[in-house]
Amino acid sequence: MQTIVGTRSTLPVLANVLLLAEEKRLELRATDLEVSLEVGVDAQVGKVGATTLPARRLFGLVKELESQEIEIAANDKELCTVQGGGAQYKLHGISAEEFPTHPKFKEEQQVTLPQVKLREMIRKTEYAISREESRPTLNGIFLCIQGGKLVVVATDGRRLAMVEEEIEEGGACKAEFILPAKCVGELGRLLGSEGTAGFRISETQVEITLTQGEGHPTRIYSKLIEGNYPNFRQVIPKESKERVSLGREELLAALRRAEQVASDKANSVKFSFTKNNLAITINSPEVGEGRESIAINYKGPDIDIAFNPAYLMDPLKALDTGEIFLEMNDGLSPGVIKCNAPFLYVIMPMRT
Amino acid sequence: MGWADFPEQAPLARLLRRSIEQDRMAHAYLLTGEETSSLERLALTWAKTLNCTAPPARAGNGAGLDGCGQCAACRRIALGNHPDVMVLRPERKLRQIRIGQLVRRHESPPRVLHDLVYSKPTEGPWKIAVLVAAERLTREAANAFLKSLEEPPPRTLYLLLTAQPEQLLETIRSRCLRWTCGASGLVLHEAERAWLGRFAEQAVAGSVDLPARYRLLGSLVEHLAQTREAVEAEVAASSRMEQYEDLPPDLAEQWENEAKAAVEAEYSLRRARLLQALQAWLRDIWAFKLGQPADTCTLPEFALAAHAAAGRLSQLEAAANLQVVERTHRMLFTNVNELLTLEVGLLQLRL
Repeated sequence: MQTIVGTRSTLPVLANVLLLAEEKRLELRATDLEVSLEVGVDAQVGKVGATTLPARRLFGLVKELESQEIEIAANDKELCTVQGGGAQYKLHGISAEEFPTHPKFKEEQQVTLPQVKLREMIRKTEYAISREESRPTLNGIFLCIQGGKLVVVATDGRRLAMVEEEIEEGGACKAEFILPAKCVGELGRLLGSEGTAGFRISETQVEITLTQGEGHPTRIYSKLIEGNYPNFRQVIPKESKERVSLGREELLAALRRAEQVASDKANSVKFSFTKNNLAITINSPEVGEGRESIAINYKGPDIDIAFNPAYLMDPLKALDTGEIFLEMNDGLSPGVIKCNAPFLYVIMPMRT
Repeated sequence: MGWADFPEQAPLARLLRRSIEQDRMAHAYLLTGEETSSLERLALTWAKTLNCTAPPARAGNGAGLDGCGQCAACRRIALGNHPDVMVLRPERKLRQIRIGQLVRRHESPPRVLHDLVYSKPTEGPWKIAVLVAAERLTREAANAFLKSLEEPPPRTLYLLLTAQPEQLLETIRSRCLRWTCGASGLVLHEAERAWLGRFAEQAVAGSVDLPARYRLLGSLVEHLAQTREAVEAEVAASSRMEQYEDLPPDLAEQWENEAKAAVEAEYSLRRARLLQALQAWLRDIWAFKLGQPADTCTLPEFALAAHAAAGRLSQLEAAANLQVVERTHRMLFTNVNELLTLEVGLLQLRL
């Protein structure tokens, strides 16, 4: 919740967390008006009501209290008493009326999938989200649900990561939307290895409910990015002439070494494919140069192709298979990374 | 608060209604007026009109024509926590709208303009961004803003508010529909009028020696000091600081700095208005010298004094006076000592 509250909000109430005491449960809510987060905990509620308290102070205080249970009581002047283990503190709050209300959903579509699956899909794509403000539609991940499949795509115009998975529940759902980077970040943090993630999708916003066992669900609400996502299928090469199998960790280690010699001006590694050999070379005039060879199984024509090492390393770090496949046509057409999982990565080569 | 609370803005309300009825709202409006605080109230009423969920009147196409001020949307717009309405203000000591408030930068607040404009509206049909004191956009921010001002996503409305439209980039001004709220031309407040009266009287009655000049300077400095005090009191009265008991220290400091900067800005605005008034009077003197009739005076109530002063001056001297005030006015916008500049200016005046 603290990541949503942020450090310097211009509206004091947004630095606070809403405490909503209902029958037998306490609901906590934080928002920055773009993304909202809602969690519930079991509680003994004496009197139903609501108030807001500064998120950071409350978190800091509760973390340091020594008892397992804490008691929170608010008076009508929004002064809250927080008690636990002999300690008693009072915090000034702001009226719950000032807190933004819950987003309302009109028409909606629903789809549910295991959290672990969604977590993996996000992990394998989110690094490719564009951070540049010049193309706002690329500042998020694109989710396309159609025909019982969920496709997750992220691109910044230089590389594109895509994962496609079957979904069991909500197969009839058909929706497309762009989830903002901030929500993707929150989701990445919250998704666990158990339980389910349910999407409720309307025209302008999305609600994601994370359920784990019998506990209270965690809900994230987010606005969606306006505009049409570019036709990403167009940039995926239809077919490739050459396909090389490479050890993921071996290649990653070689690239990590090569990156040490890279500089801002000379930020490319050259891959030279010759018969059964891949030579990786890097040369930056002001830093130095490097060369290493990897034995591969390759019978095609000699190809020289250069890539930005960081862009190549991103997917290699996110994947966990032992073997990856690099597909290419020639030194100037995009390369494609695939693996034995529903993953695809397109990377534009650099001029050598 | 609906449009009925702004009887003097009836023409603007009519324009807005017509635009809503014909579904021909421009994507950006530049509202100019004497003070940004009243423009801001106007802009929020505009936002309520577009996003009100229970409008008291509707157009043929179903769109609301006024805000009710009571529904959840209207209340949240007033409180500043409506997800589809955002108000950007100059920040920090320099009182600037910085690029970090528009697009995501290291020092950005949790929510930036870019987030609002490029995400879909969630509650109302419109996304509304209000830029208070738009002339305070830094050059970097103005250039970043231009791009989205040129081609905003559909259903996005920019309301730019300013008391000094001439300080906005021409490229920004030209992309907005401009509307002047309140009287155009020279508007003198009571205090300024009184001061100018005293000044004219002293200038004409007094001899032209040095002590008389310093008496004039004294009256000007005294008036400016009173102006500053009044501005300080006004800013303190409208401060949001008092409403919150436990304000985060960095936010409290930021608001304090902003308040200081707001005092500076308002003060320099009023000082400029005073000099404009003085310039208008000197222009009247020059006009008399050129043989213009008395009924063309900008300030008829000081025509007598102007006429008397004109009798003592040559045409060239009268024209030179205008340049002196103009130069003083310009100098005050740069980082110079205020007292020294005013002193030099007044000593150079020929009266």
